[in-house]
This record gives sequence, C-alpha cells and structure tokens, in this order.
Amino acid sequence: MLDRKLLFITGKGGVGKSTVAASLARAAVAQGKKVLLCEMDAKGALSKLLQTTELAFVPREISPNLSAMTMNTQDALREYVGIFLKTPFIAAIPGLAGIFDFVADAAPGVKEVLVVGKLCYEVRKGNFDIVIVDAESTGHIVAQVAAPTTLRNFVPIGPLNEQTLWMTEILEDPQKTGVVVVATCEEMAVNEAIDLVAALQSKTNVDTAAIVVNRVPSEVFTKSQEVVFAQLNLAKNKSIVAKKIGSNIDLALQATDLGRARRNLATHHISWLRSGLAEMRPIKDFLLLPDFSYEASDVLVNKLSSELEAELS
Amino acid sequence: MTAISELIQRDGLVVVCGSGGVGKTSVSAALGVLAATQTQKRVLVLTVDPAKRLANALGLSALGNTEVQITPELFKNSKTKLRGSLAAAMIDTKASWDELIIRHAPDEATRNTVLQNSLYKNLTERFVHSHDYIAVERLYQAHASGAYDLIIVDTPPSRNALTILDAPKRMQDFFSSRLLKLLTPSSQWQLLALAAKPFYEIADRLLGKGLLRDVAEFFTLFRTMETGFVERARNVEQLLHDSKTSFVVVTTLEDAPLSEAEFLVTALKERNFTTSFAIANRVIPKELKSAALLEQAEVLMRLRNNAEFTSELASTLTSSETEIDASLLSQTMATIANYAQATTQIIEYQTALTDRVAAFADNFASAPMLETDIADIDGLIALGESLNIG
Repeated sequence: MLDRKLLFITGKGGVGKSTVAASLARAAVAQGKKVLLCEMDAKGALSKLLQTTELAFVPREISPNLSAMTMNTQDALREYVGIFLKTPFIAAIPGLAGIFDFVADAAPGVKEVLVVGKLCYEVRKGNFDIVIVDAESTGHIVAQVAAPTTLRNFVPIGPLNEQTLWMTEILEDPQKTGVVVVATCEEMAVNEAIDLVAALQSKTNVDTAAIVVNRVPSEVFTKSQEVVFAQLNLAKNKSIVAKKIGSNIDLALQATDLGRARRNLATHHISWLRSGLAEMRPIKDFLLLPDFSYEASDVLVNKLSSELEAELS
Repeated sequence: MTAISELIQRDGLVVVCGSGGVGKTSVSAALGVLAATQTQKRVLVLTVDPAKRLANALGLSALGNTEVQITPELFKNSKTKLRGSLAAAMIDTKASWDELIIRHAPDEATRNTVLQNSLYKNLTERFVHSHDYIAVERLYQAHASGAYDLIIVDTPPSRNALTILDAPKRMQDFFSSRLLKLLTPSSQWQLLALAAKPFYEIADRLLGKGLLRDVAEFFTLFRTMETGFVERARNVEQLLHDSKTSFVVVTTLEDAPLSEAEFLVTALKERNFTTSFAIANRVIPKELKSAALLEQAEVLMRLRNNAEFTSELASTLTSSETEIDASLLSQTMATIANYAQATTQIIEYQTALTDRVAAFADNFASAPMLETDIADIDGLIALGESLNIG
C-alpha cells in the first residue's frame, strides 16, 4: 500500500488513527520514500506523537524525508483561489473570509473539496512520493473522498466543478489512492469498520487499501500449554499446587487468565471483522498490529513502524 | 471528595464526556442502572451511539429516538432489582432536528419548505456542531418534561468536549451573526448587503451561480424560527450551569485519552461548572498487586527448572482424562511467570497515570478491565457496582 501516492487513514475515534498514520509514514521513510504526513483536524496529536512543535498548513520537514502539515480550510481556500482562479483573495473585504467559510459549511462538498483538493494538489505537484493523511473518523471520510463527485452533481457548472475532475482522477485510481481503515478488537470499532468499508464500496469509487487491526493482544499460551494451564487453574487443584510449590500462585494465574480472556475476546472480534468483510469486495492487506498501548508515544511509533515495515515487506 | 454513590443520590443531570473509545456509553448505562437499582429515582439514560450488545443488555433490540422504559422483567434473573424506574433512548440527530423545526416553525408552509430543503440535511449534520447541540437540547427536553429525577447523557465523541458546553451559546451567536443577516436581507442591512456584492460575485465564481441564493433562501426561512431557537438555547445554557448538573469525564489509563480528560476537567473547573468526576475505565483489577505478582513469578521461574519438582507436579495434575507432560508444565509455568511479570509493568504504568488523574480531578472513581463485553444487565450492574465502590 505504500506504493500508492495518497493514503487516508481512518477509523472510529480512539482506535489509534494518528499513531498508525505516523507509523506508516515512518515505515515509508524507511523504505526510502519522501513522505508528507497531514493532520486533518488540528487536534495536535501528530505533533505530540512525532515530538515536534505545532504543525502548520505549510509542510515542514520534521526529520529527514518526513514532512508534516495540518489542514486548515481557510488556508486551503486561500491557496485554491490564488492558484486556480487567479483572483485576489477575498480577505481584502473585511470579515468576508470568515463568512465564506461559514457558507462553505452549508453547501455539500465545498469544504471537503477544498481539503481533498489540497491533498490531491500535493500529489499532483509530486514533491513527495506519498501523502499520508491522518484523516477524520469514520463519519466523515466517505463524504470527504466522494466530495468532488458530490459537488459536481450539486453545482453542475462553474470553475469549482471543472476543478473536481482531475481530483477524481487521482482519488479513483487504486494505483494512486487508498483508504486504510483502522479498528481495534472491540465491538464498536469492528462494526464501524465493517460499515465504513461497505459505505466506501457502495458510495464511492475510492479503493480500500487495507484494514489495520491495532492493539491486538498477543497469544498467551500454545494449544498444548492451554491444557496445562486449565489443570493448574482448576479450583480443586489450586490448593494441591500451592502446597507443592510452598506458596500461593493465585494472582499469577489470575493475571494470566485476564490476558487469556482479553486475547480470546480480541480473536472473537477479529473473526467477526473478517466474516463481515468476506461479504464485500476483497481488500488487499489485512494487518494485525500488537498492543503497545502501554508504551510512551515515541517508543510506540518506533515499534509500530518496525512492525509495519516487516508486515509490508 | 464526592463518591459516585453520592452522585446518583442527587436529582438532576449527569453529562458523561471523554474521548472516543474509552467506554462512555457503557459507563453511562451502568450509572443509570446503578441509580435505578440503588434509589427510587426515575432515571433516564440518553446515549448517542450504543453498541448493539449494549442495547440488548438493556433488553432492547435497538434504541430509538423516543424514550423506552426498561421493564423490571429484565432484572428477573439478577440479584439486584429495580427500585426506581429506568428509561433509555438513543439520540438521533436528524430526527431530533426535525422535531425542533416542527416545534419552532411559525407555520406549516415554512416547516415543510425547511424539512424538504436540499441543504437542510447537510446543514443539520454539520453546522454549529449540531450533534453537540442536539445532545444538550435533548437533555433539556427530558429535564423540562419533569418525567425524570436523574438524567444521564452520553455525549458524542468530540474533538474537544468543550464544544458541547459551548453549543447553546453558538446557536445563539449564529442567529445574531453577520452571516445570517447578510444572507437574509432586512431593511437595515440592505446597505451592508450592497457592500457584500463583491462577495456574492466571487462566491458565484467559486461555487457556481445560484448556490448561494439557495443557501440564502434556506436561512431566510430558518430565521423565522429565531425567537424559539434562541430562547431555547439560552435555557439549555442555564441548565448546564445549574448546580444540579454534574459532569463525569471518562478516560482509560493511557496517555492520549488521559490528556484529553485532564484538559476537560481543568476547563470545567475554570468555567465554574459543578462537581466533575473523573472515571478511569479498564483498570487492572485491584487485587492484582505488583509485589505479590513478582514474588509468585519468581517462585514459578525457580521451580520450573527443577526437574524433580515438575515431574512430580505433572503426575499429580495428571488425571484419567488429561495427561500432563513435565516439560510442557515447565514451559507453561514460565509463560505464567512472564505474564505475571508483564502485568506488573502494566500495573506500574497505570498507577503512575492514576496519580495523574488524582492530581487534576477532585473526585475520582475507577472501573476494572473486563474479561468480556457487557452483554446483559448483570454486566451493567457489575460495572455500576465497581464504580460505586470507587
């Protein structure tokens, strides 16, 4: 998937979109690519993860071959007007820029087109090998990637309409663009991922590049060890074992059992996700990432990016 | 420090917030169940996006926009019984907006034109944080109906949870904004509308002709509802600031959600909102103590290399159905020891973060990491009880 030009990383809130986006960016850099990482909602999570200062609309190289920016509709509008319409910016009329932003909120697709347009523009300019977007959560992404088409239907004439054509060409080419859906092994996150893939496939022509299941707890026991554990954990055996050992191991058993339960629950949710996706058009990559949530941010990104590198090579 | 047990004794409102994926919906439902089983209150839980299993746990096949009473029948197999009453509803933003328009529209024609406007759906989904506004609006509605003593609202995941508190204010601001006045020309604004002519021209060039006119038409109609909306938003704002409204901020003991919780609790304090609680969800069970775990891990590691011991224990554990192999037992002991050790690291990590929570939140409770998803009423009762204990 890192051979594409534009990747949107999305998923339910809290699944680790920013972490996965940052780790994918690092993995792409490790593959020798020049990467632009873009944060969509200015929440500041990316700069924190990458341990850098606040990001701006203008891409900034934060480490060799890795640049980052944050999306801003006002700036995107300013750039759009300047580049494509050759119109002096409307900010010359006091207060109107803000009002325009407000109107853009009302018309379907306008804001999304400005945002998606900026991303496609970066792809078209070709300053980077890949643009990785820490996108908005599931509720928004379909509207976003479908925006150029939506707007074309809504505003049949005008320059904005014409401008959407080249964007669609980039967005709807599976060689160039893909959506990466991130989930965790939880009921809601899995259901949202299934619904999102269904919506992407039925409402847009944008390809789903990969499913990433984040924070998968590792397997505790092998099958044959399970049998031994079950015997040790039997109520009637516990006192016998304690007597033999000379001390109680109840807590160690309980901790292990909690780990087993979490793993079992995760396995259950992953198979639910797989069976939900089985009814849809096949998705090339299905990646499972280990649970590093108890690591500090920088360690987390490093560990995840090495996992991703290994998985994707 | 106020405990959750006191929170549910109060009449009033509880706003549950926090970042996505921390278990807000389960905590909201569990608080509702706790209040309805521990007190004689009439309790309502309003949720934004319940997991199907959670709806099922409440004995409902699905939750809808209207309130449904949970029958005592649901508790028939549980030790804990309903003492008060419990109702639940899911907030459907679109349906709630339709109701608002129907209520505030001055006449049938305006109402129908607005509801059928092509921009309307798009607007209700996106502008002025409409999900947040609807959440507090529904809270107000339920409160004003007088049908409930305690109302718990599970808020939508917000980039910045404060947007919920600001939602009523923004609704008022929207009606007094220049935008609305520009788009809905009245006599005293004609002059400004003239000044906005270049804006219209550029907007037409950018967006295509006529789009802005459609937008204006919609807003003109929307403005006829100003009085109703503004008054309502003002009431909602007052209610949020009332001392009867408490805030519960849910977090997990992980860096990102915790930072958001800290930001939120601090902001609530600064804005003089009534008592806020922080709830740490999915905490390693309290009985698992680091020192004891390490000790047990050490014993297991030592004995697993003792061949005599493992073969003896293996034969003790071997029953007629199961044969236990000594070397497999040794491996299993090592895995258990490693796991116990790894758990101590998580406990230490969580303890450090718990200290952080205690430092910023005056009131603090926690709920344990669960082995399964909450699938029935007993799951909600158990979660509620663990919150009650603290």
